[in-house]
Amino acid sequence: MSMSSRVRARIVVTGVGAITPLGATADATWASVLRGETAARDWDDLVRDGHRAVRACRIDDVDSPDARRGRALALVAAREAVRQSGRGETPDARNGGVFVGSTLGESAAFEEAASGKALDLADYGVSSFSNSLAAAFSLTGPREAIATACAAGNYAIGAAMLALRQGRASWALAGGVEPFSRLSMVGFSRSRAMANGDCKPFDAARTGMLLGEGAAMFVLERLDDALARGAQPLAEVGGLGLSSDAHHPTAPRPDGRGMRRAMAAALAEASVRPDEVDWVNVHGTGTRASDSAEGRALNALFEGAPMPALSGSKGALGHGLGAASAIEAVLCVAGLRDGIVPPTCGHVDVDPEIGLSCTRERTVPVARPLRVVMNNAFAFGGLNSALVLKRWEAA
Amino acid sequence: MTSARSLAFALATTASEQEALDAVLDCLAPLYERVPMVDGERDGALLVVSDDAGTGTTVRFWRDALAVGLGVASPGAFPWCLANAPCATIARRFGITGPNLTWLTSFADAREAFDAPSAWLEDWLCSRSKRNEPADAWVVAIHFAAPGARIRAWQWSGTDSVSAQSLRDVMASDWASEGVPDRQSASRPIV
Repeated sequence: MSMSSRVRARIVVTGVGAITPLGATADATWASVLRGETAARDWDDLVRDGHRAVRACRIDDVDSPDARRGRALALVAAREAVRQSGRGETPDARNGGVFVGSTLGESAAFEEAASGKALDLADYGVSSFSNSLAAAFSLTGPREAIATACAAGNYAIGAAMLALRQGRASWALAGGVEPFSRLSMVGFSRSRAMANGDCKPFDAARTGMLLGEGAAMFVLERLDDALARGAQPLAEVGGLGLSSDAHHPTAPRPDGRGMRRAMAAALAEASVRPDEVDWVNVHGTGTRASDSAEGRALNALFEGAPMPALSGSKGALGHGLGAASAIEAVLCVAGLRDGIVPPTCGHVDVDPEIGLSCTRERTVPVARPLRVVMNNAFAFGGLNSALVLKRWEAA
Repeated sequence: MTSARSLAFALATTASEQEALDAVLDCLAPLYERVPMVDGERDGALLVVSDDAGTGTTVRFWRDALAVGLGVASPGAFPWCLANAPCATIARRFGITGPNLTWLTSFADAREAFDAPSAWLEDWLCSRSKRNEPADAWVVAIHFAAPGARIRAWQWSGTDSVSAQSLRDVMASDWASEGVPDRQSASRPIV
């Protein structure tokens, strides 16, 4: 059936899970981010291996071989999300779909293969995450492995939303996964994208990004289905906007035109006006070019409307690549739930070129409660995404 | 009514993924240039499905990095370690500024491989048509490694009466019927 020929179902989040460098659960991560903590530090093994950049945000204690680290992270996050949703106890628990985004899949497996280890790399790509989650939860619905680099988490949530609206799945497990990648450390550092010190989103003195890792998963379902089984929605997924810069292999369009187009598309999909947006979780990698372009896009989108609260988490968590936007969407859901915009670790001085200030402390809006947040995520290749999430309100 | 045109080419396997794709981009141009550019941009969605995009480049990149030293490795090939590099390259070459998606999947079951892009395509074509907006999209399937390295692209223009199943069946049938092309003929249409 054509989706546009029927009323679009409302899609809600009923479970979240995350494992990040700041916590082994979604709530632990949220609490650390609220305290303004950062996971960034220098790593001895990276020094020993001869990496030029040795500062990163990593998860210390993952009980898994390196080449299966990603699926271990995915499983931890998914179990937490499913547990919170209560889906595991429902009669249609197996009719779920799995939608996972990642940049490189099990990077360590590719590194081992390059060193001569005999591996079937088809078992270690992005689809290995969706396949392993489907197997772990005995899910028989659609499986999608979405390889849209640093924006992949947003895309996966959007893909799940579409599948639910089209009736292809009764519920969905969706999110992003990225195990720590030495290959990415080399690629980004040799591309001069890494920070000299800490990551400072939107700050005048920003010098680049820090690499992170982790996984975040969501249980998504149609609102009517969630309410019918007595589930408590945590937030509503309003819409996903996408665009392409078609500009440069790695750099964004300097004018932010493509980013603005994705944000505008997300608002249109969610039937939200710019003046109704309370908070934007910025992509905020801390690189000169990306933050400047995003700032221009935000200034253009909200011209004539109040600038929403802006926050970014990559100073705290690093850039988790394909997991980043899913992890940040978890923070968005927590913020909507608690009515708090988190601090932006690393943001001190406004860049006059951007002219936008991010939160420096946890912020509780006074004019009106948080109702709408937009989660920005952009990627190599000029991919732009914006995901609108709304606070769940029973009325 | 929904219409489709497609082109298919063998890909060179002696070259890098980037070189292999670059070699056939001009041959694919007729499929993209049917949609006019406005202000240097083409409005449409670009959906790529592949079973191995980025795999060969990733292994080669790390092998080269280990050989010269991690601190001095050349970053040139790094963007092509990412599976979305082909989609981004096609978008850049033809100025496509709409949604840009890449799925990694096995082609062992062609219908299953095209499930996701077909569902997405159906929504794109139908919702754009309903709003009286141009509804154009391209789907590209790529397999880089030998044997059978090839690319096939479809250009879709739609209205609101299309189903994901029919879209999927057309693409799966086209892809499954091609067999192994002549790897030396990088610019020769297979069909």
